[in-house]
Amino acid sequence: MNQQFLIPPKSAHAFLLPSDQTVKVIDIQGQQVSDLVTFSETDPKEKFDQARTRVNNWTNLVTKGTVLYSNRNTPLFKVIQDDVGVHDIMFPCCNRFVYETIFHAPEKKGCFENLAEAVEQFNLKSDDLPNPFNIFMNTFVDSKTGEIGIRTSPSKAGDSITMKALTNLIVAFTACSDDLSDCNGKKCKPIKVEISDSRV
Amino acid sequence: MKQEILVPPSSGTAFEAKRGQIIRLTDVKGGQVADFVAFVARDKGEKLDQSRTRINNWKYRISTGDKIYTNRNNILFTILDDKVGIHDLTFPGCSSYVYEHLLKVGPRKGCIENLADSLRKWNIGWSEVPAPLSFFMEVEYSLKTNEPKINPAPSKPGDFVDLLVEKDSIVAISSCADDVTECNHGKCKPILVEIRD
Repeated sequence: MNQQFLIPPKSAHAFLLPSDQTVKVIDIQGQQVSDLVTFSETDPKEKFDQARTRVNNWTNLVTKGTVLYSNRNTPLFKVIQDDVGVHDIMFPCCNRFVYETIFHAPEKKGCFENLAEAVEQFNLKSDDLPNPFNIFMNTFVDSKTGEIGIRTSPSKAGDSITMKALTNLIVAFTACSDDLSDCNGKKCKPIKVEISDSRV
Repeated sequence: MKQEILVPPSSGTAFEAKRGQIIRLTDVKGGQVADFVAFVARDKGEKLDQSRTRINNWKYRISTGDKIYTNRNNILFTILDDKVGIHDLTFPGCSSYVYEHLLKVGPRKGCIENLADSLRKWNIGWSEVPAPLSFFMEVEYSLKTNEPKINPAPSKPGDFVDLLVEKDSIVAISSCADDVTECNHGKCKPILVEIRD
């Protein structure tokens, strides 16, 4: 293992991830979501795209084997290991507006604001943030009834997902800030990230 | 004052819309999808956002009374009237990539390319075109496999949606170029756009 760090509850961390390195995201205590956004390091206008990832994989389900695509259809990440099999690519980051208008909790920072601060070091602004890959997030979208919703994450203590970078990336992960919905079991916990060089 | 634009089959159009104007999209012949994207006129970094529109309305499908949001959670449009009630907020717009790699019919222009062509004079490139609101497009997701299924567009001849412009915008609309899947019943037809004060 080359590097590891802990993302404290309700915060975010951004770093560079060279092509071929792998990143393992570990839910240390269980039932904790981590939002991921990622950008091409050579041209950060190229970035993760929820809709293209859904359609290019022809499913909403992200798990082992899934490729995460950019807005230019470039493969950014491949999922190479996954203990959970429940992740979301339909919801935006939690954010101040959602907390205020939907959860009636004003002045609360969400993953969006935390990610925006974390990517500042790479000269990226909040407008540049794409909608995220929500790791371990348990959502439902019922296209028959039109209902959508958030359920508690099924990840257990120690569960992980590992992704391999397919190009040079700027990445940012959060430990999700939502202690109001069922998302994180109403308690915000840390997320551990381990970076390894998969090249032989 | 009223402006009319007939968007020919498999093409796109773009125009500036002023706050307070009403945009009507009519499916002239029925069974035809129209992809819709928009940018805030004074700052093109702010644009229509599928995910936020879904979540801020807290529903899978939006219709009359619902709002269309930007990536800054500002309201761009309000749906004033809607004869269909079935629109998609999950697909990225058909594109050359989709035709070549998913539908295996080789590279050809899709809605993304047609929208980008019509947005060129505002210096908006194809990778800046956000995933659209696809009017009259019916997509269902299997609750078991999470796979999407594109159903034939349910709109009838003359069905329309009316959108109230809430912010000065650059709007681009395509008449969907997909004659491969069931999306447009296998045939591409025009879309009529009317803009009135």
